[in-house]
Amino acid sequence: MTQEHTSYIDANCTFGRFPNHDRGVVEVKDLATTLDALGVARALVRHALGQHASPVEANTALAEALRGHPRWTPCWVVNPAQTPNGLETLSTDQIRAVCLYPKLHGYPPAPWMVELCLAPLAERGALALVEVDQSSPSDLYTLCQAFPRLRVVALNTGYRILGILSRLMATCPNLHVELSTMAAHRGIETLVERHGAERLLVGTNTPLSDGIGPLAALGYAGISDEDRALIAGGNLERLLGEVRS
Amino acid sequence: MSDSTTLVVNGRSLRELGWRVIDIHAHLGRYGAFEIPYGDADGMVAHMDRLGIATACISSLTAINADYVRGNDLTAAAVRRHPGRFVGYAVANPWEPSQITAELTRAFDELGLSVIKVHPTLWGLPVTEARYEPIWAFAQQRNTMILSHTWAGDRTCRPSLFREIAARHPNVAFVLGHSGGPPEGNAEAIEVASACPNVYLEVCYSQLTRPQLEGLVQAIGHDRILLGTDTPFIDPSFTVAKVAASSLAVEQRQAILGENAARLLERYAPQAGIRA
Repeated sequence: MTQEHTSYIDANCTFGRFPNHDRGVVEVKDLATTLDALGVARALVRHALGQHASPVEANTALAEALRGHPRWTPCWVVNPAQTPNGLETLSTDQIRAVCLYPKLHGYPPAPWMVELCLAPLAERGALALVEVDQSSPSDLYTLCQAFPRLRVVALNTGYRILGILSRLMATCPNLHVELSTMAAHRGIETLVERHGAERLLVGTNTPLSDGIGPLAALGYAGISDEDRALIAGGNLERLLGEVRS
Repeated sequence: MSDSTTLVVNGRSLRELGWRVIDIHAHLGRYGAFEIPYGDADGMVAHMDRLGIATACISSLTAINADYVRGNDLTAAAVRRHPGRFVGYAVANPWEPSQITAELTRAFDELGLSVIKVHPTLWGLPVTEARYEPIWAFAQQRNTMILSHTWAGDRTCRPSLFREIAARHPNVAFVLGHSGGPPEGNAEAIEVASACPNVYLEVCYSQLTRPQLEGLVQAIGHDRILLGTDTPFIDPSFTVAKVAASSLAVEQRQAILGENAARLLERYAPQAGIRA
């Protein structure tokens, strides 16, 4: 029997309208309802506008929606292929995490392309979230090597990539893995056995996935309760707390 | 949260509720395309015990994806190693139609396998091809069950292709794996199940949501919906949790998680020893 968790800190959730489907999580209160039902206490939150609207419009909307809600930590979108890139109007201490969509936004996630945006964030130890299908394992490797102080978080990995993730984690100490779709058989315990629990982050991928799956996978993983607590929220809390102003 | 929801979120076995969980769609072993840890029989059983999965119906990944004769031997070895924990699917590849009857006979009568698995996508061969006929005929003669991979829009195994096959073989229980996958596949699977009383829907799909599952139950009732997890392809906790933590009535969740499968196996695979 494992220690019971009443709360999680979710590394991967979004609210807002999507252009190609209705997920019913349009406003922050909708997100709260969904995450309450899953027992998620806090979350790193993105706005769906970040995928398809200009980064300035997306970040303005995110800031307005999250104002006065300390439960949510904003994850800003940055688009290094645009001027403005989305971060200019934010104060430095506001930015603890950003998300990149290289494929959707049509740029190569190479160091020469992203350096202007990411180098200052890397110096502060900020988090950079990248969906695996928005890049490639080689892109993630290059990003991690080019910015060793940046905490790179691979999102929505899928279940077929365990062996590749494992090699990436072995060669890139700054690579972190969000687990919402990392559904490999006994995958969490395998990664913990090989690399420890400190770089694994629970996520629900709300509203694009049903978050009960990854929460159950964490519950059933054959790991210690201490490691389970780190993955459930301790790691993300530590990472966000370590970002320098 | 309901009791079963509390259990799955906290990593506790559904046996605590006295529920019997049967996984109608599972595999065994390793795979060429990506790493599968703990995919051997012992590794699977250890994880099944955590969730409270009493029995899993397995076909080795070697059988469906590489060499069906070698793969049937691997499946049988796992069934023998863990009596009562595994029910074995026999596989015969329709690219070798002349071998089908002999191999299925060997698998059933010598190896102790008791149900049949087909994977038309991996074989690149539509189920409407005549090459499958010996498989359907063997199943009809043995009154057994066939699990097929099905997927929306797949030319080899979209759910609608099974309507005529199921109608022609009333002695066979056809289980549509993944219920066709995405919602558009579900819609086709529902049509086939509505028309054919010998068609059952299995719910494993990596992107399954609880509302999607609840929609299947709303469409055809819960009696012909079966838990499948695709383990060790995918960790079984994902699908088990979506059923256990759904908003379906307790008796519906129990039925889908295991009681429906127990009835099905008692009728169509009595030699497996599962009793309703």
